[in-house]
Amino acid sequence: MNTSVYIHIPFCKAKCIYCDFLSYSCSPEAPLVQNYLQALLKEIRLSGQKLQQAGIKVGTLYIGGGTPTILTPQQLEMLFSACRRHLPLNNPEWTVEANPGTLTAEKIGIMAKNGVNRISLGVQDLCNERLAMLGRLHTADQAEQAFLSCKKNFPVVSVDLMVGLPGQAEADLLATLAQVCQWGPQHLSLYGLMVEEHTPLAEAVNSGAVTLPAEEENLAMFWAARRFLSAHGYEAYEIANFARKGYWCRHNLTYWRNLPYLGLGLGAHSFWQRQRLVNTDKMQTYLALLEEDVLPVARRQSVSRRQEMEDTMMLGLRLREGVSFASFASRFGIDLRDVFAVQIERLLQLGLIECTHGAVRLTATGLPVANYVFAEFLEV
Amino acid sequence: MQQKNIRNFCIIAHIDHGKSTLADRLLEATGALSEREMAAQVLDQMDLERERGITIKLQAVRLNYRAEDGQDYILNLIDTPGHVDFTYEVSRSLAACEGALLVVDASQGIEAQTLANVYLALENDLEIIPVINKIDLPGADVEKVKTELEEIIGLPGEEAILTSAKEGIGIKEVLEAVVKRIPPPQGDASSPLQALIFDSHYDAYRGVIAYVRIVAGQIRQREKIKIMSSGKVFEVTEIGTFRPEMTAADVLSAGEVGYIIAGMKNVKDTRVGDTITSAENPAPEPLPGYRRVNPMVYCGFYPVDNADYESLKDALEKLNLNDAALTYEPETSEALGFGFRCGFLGLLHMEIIQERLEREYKLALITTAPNVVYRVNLTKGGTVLIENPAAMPKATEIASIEEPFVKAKVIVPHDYVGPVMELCQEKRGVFVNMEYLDPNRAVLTYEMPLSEIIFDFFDLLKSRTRGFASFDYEFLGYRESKLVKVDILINHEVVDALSFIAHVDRAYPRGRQLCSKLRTLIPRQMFEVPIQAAIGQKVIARETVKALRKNVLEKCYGGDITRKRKLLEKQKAGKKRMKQVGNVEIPQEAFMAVLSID
Repeated sequence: MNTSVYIHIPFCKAKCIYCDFLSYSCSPEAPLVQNYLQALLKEIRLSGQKLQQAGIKVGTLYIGGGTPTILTPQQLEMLFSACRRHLPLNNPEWTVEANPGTLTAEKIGIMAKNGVNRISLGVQDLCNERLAMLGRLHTADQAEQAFLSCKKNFPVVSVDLMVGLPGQAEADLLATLAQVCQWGPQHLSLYGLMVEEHTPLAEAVNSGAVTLPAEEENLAMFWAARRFLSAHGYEAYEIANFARKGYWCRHNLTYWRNLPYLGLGLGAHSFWQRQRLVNTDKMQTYLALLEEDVLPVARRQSVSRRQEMEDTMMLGLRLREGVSFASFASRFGIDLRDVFAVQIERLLQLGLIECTHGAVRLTATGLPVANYVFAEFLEV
Repeated sequence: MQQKNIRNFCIIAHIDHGKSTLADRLLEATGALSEREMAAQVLDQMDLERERGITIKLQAVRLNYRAEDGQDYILNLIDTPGHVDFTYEVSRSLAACEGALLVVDASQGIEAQTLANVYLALENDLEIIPVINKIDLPGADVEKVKTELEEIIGLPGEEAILTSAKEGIGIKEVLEAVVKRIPPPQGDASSPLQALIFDSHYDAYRGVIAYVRIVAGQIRQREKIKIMSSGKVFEVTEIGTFRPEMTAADVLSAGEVGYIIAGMKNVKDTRVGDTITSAENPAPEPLPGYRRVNPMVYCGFYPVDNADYESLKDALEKLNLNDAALTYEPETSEALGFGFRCGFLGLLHMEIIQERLEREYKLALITTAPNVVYRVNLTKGGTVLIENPAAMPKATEIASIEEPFVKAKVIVPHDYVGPVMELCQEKRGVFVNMEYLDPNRAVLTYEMPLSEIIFDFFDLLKSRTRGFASFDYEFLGYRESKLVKVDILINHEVVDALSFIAHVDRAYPRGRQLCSKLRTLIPRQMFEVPIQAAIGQKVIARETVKALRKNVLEKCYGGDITRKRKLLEKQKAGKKRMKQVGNVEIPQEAFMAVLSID
């Protein structure tokens, strides 16, 4: 049996103005980073033992952040070799998130040599002014250079782009997409900018210093991007993810199919043996617990059968393939149309979902208001 | 105890002038309660009262006092509610007394409620002892208040007692004045029994406890008594006095204040102002002044969750046990389902009930905007009382509509006379007169529709006078007005709970304002939602809630499924507090929105 492992590197050179993920801005030479890696390595070792004992292999490995590529070549080498030594890897899809501003030929070489086979490159936009404004530490040219280097060294490169940025018009977005498509990534993620509380962006928006595209413009961009990418051979296999045939992100599929995964590192989340586990998000606690050889889990919550069914809908409906009746039935022993009869009836009436090809999935009407659909399935 | 050693008195004051603190000090000074036993302000027993600093339910307490003349006295202190909603109750508790302490804040001076209460006391022939309180405060101006007492009320200022209830100054003097200046009760103990009910409350174990002043005759254990307005007969199981806890006694005689328990099951059997007499030897006449109080303000209470209907009914029943002035009738709204139309003495009364239902009974309620009772004269003859705007007959069936008017008195510093006059005029007030209390303060008298006062008059008055105005009103009677019913249509359906009645000159702007307010309150739905205001078939305003176009989480929270879930749960929980009307989800606030326009 295979599972997925996520490893969190909570450091960045500087935080982007929209970011509310758990990350410290500091230099990789800081003692904090060194201490963290020591602890993380131990967590990898302990988790690896757990997996070995259970006879479970790692089918996908995803190293995200923060900015994993902020680490020095030596640190990266240490991390990767620990992964290879302690985790029961089974020819995994091995992704590392990379920031064009921190990527070097040396780091690329170390990643490739260790077996990393997929790079998720945080390009976000190709307008230098906007990149600077967002607090990104790279230019469009640097992004392109980084992409080209990655393309030479890894079988799969995915590009992250953002939609709904300040001052971004549909034409800007389409120009960016056209350029990125020319680079020829196998996979693209298109994330809508969200204004999270307590971020510099939220302040700027509240004070009126920054204006975001209106809902109608956002909606237009949402559709324009999908049309464009579809025309260029990228299938919208998930709400925010596009890929050429055969290049779906297997790691993220684990989340969307509501399957078990392990999260390692500060504040990382796991879904393991019908429990949702969250690692402590306090650095000192994290370090201290691992010092004592204790897994740094701060919260653990059982997932009820009902909740698991709801999560399966909420996550599975993100995928174009939807939630298949057969897989739901084989997992829960009951037809999802019986469990969610009322919700499905109502959503069918509103034209937001369809039940075709043996699955329930979002319609084109439902797609832009997917949250409304997901919420229907939750019992509050 | 002989009658000559009994004194029955109450304390009247404007809100915040220190009535409750003074009462506490009197209890303390007479040993009715030790300091240690005293929670702050014993007389106000309900939490709500303590929070709001106002007295809602009356209480009574008996104080034993040895005066400077060496004799022992019984002083019965009857507390009075301090709000215009409860004027009738106040008048009945004043009727149970021979004297009143008139408490005036040394820095604030005489206010609207002070005056209203003084008039009530004078109507009941009470001996009034002015007390100037809070003399310790830096802003105190005793001489000015003395002058006001003389010029405005005609009480000799030099007889005022100076106190600081907070600091315990002047308490002894107050007690001596009660003994010396308030006459002892009259009333023949050998006449047939006449006991004035000035309050009652329901106790789950003992039934109704009637608070009474024995005006004539005597009452004993196991005596058969009769309620004079209804003729109902009960057998006394216990009588006694408040010290302050209820203490049983064998007999209560003319002049005394106490309680009667007689197997009465409902406070409606013991309405304030009614007379209890002996069933075997009844008094020929009840005491004067009894009247049934009728609700002045109505609103609809609907459970957010229809399944809570029975719980709401139970809760209203329980509250009604203790509050005869509250009325409730089942009502069905097309928009809100099953609920109750409830009647109240005034807005405060309404808010109190609403809060108690939500707090004590944990009910999630939708409250419709309050309205007054309209008298509708029909073209085919006859008059109907309309307690719910939705029930207003068709325009073609209406000959005329009458609405309740009140006489409103506003006391305000000279600088704010202009803004207050403007406000009263906006609220369809008819100017009666203006008198100056002193060179700086004026009393403005207006005749106004009650419906305008229950909208947002208090708030506007406060904000336009920076809190310096005080306000009181009394009911005048019904007057004809040019009124129309305005309906609100959401997604082309009339939402009955949003209908309101307005003066014809104001119907258009109010309709427009309500529509634009509703547009901001009704969340966007999956489709476009028109909001219209209409008089009859004629649409007078229209707004549109645009359809929800985009609501999708395109951000990757990685494995943090919990966060995704929480986000959606929050969205869902918001929906739960809304009412589904047709296809549209309407939040609770929308049903009160009509209050916050203008």
